[in-house]
Amino acid sequence: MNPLHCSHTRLVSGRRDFLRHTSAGFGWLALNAMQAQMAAAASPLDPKQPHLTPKAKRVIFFFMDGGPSHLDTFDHKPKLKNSAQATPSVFDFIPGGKSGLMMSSIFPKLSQHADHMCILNGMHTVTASHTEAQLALHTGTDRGVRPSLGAWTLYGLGSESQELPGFISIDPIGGVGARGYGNAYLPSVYQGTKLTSGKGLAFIEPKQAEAEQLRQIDLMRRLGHQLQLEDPANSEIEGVISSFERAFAMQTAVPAVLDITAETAATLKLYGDTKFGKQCLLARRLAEDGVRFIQIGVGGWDNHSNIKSSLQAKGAEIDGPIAALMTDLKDRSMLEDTLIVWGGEFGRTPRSRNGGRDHNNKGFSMWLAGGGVKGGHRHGATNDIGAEAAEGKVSMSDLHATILHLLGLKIEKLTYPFADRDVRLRENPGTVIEEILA
Amino acid sequence: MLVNRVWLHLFGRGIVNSPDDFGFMGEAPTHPELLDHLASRFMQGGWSIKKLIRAIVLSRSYRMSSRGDPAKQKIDPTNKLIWRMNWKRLEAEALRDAWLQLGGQLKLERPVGTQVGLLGREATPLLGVSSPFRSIYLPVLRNGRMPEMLEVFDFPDPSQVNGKREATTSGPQALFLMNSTFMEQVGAELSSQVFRAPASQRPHTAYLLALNRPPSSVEVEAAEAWIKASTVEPKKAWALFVQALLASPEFRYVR
Repeated sequence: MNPLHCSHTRLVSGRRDFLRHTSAGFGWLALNAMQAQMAAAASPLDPKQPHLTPKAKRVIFFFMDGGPSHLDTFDHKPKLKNSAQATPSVFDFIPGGKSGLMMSSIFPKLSQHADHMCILNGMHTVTASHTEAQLALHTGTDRGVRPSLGAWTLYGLGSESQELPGFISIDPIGGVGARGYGNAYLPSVYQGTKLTSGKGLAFIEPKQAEAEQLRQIDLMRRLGHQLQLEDPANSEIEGVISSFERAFAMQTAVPAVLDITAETAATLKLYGDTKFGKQCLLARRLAEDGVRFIQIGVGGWDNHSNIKSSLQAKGAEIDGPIAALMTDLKDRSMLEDTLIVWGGEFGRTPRSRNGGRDHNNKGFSMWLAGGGVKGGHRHGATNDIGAEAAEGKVSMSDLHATILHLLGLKIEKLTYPFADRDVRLRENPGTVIEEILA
Repeated sequence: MLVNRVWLHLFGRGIVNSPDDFGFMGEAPTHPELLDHLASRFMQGGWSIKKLIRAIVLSRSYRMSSRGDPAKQKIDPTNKLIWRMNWKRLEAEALRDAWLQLGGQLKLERPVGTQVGLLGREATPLLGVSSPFRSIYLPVLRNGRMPEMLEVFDFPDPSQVNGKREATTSGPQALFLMNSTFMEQVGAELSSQVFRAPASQRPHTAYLLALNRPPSSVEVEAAEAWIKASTVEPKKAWALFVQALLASPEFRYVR
């Protein structure tokens, strides 16, 4: 039996079940007291013991919606000649740091952090269709409804923050929709919470005194417990009730984390006054406050035409803020236990058409930085023309296995009992990329 | 495709549970013969959606109870084989209409004329969530932002085809239910109806109005204690009480 399967992760455990079945007969006060005890005893979001010593405590995942062109960003092919099969990049590549790691000149500031970055040039995925490939990136499978990586992480490790949701998706984007931060068959407490960077959360200001709100939640909990008798295995009721508990705590925690007035002028300047800059600063603030998995969506990478100007603009948009985040995390000694993941659902074709490139799932690039990965390192490669992964191939399952490994979780042990068997993130759990571990 | 969508709406789960994606990239049908049967019956019936719905709702499967059963749950936890009716969440529009109706504000007739105007050069909806019209009559602008209320309750992206909505349970939904003016007003309206009843009948009235069922004797006792323990005046306390009933899972799911 896996240690993660201790009874409190199951919604229908003996003690709670007993309470549910008998609660209808108790007086109001007795019930209240027992519920207070229950709440104090165990929450499915309590921090849990990982399988291994973790290298990273949290993940900041930059999702580049559309599939960034690897040949114009992180896959350096200096010998590529114009041919019927391939078109060289319109951008120069520049070396960064002591390692001299090469990346596109659209990332001049990021390049200064090269010694912390680990570029994966041998990525491949199952399909070249956006939504399905995004599903594979976020959930490990390209069809159906499976829990997202963030939900698995929260399930495996619990949350460090009691007030903020442990899994936050800032401005989610792409055809993957809410499945990108969904919980699927995991209990709904592990679902990601969507946060809008510009205005935070609507209806965050309480209209009643705290005590009255708590009494309302208590009332709903009682109703919910009664309903649970009809369908003991239903985890949605618990999900609804805990959504109120979380909302209650969020009323103070969210405005606090969104309030950047305490940041110094230097920090604000570092991140810049752009939407993406604010998203990155918010990510750091969430990370500091104990949020386990932070996802940020950036659109505009589906460059079927005119890569020259559109990628130049994308570079200008994300280069400074990501570099700022890395500097800031480093200054706060947080980069060593924060894993940064950057990438899209697939890459693009070697051959250019209309100045753009088309979808390519056979070979592309992503990069990791921080928490437990080798810095200044390049792993894997595509073939000569960049059409497909040739060495150091990494599938989405391998990537997930590696991310979870860095967090201290073994993917093959991270299971949830469902449909009378222990379900894993993926049937084929993938292999940890040992070569990139620091 | 169409038969499957009708089935999905009635059962909360499609025979092919990826309604926008049949075939290789989609999920396999749970009951392929049934889907074929219903599809040919649909064509023979002159493509009548009404007949199709009638055939499905008269089936034994549709009329099953939604009660859980631990033994069956163990074999088929997602109810793929339809051993019971699924719990169905009320979607954004149904929730809004139900709350407006309870608050005594819902207008059943259609608004007159187009409800989209121009603000400068931007198309702008002229009706918002606080208008009294049914949600189906609210303008949906493909390029515009959806009202918060609909958005938090999983209203789909209007620029995309979407045969099956997401079903999230989130903190932002709970914030809407606790803190929005909309819910506050519905609660206040219902509370005046509750307050008009004699004191001894108030719990009963509140449960009947909000949950369409009488309270148990334990619930009556608890409701009275709840109101008594409140720090606000009784009418306001009843508003908060009713608001909690309207936000509870019991209200938000059809069982």
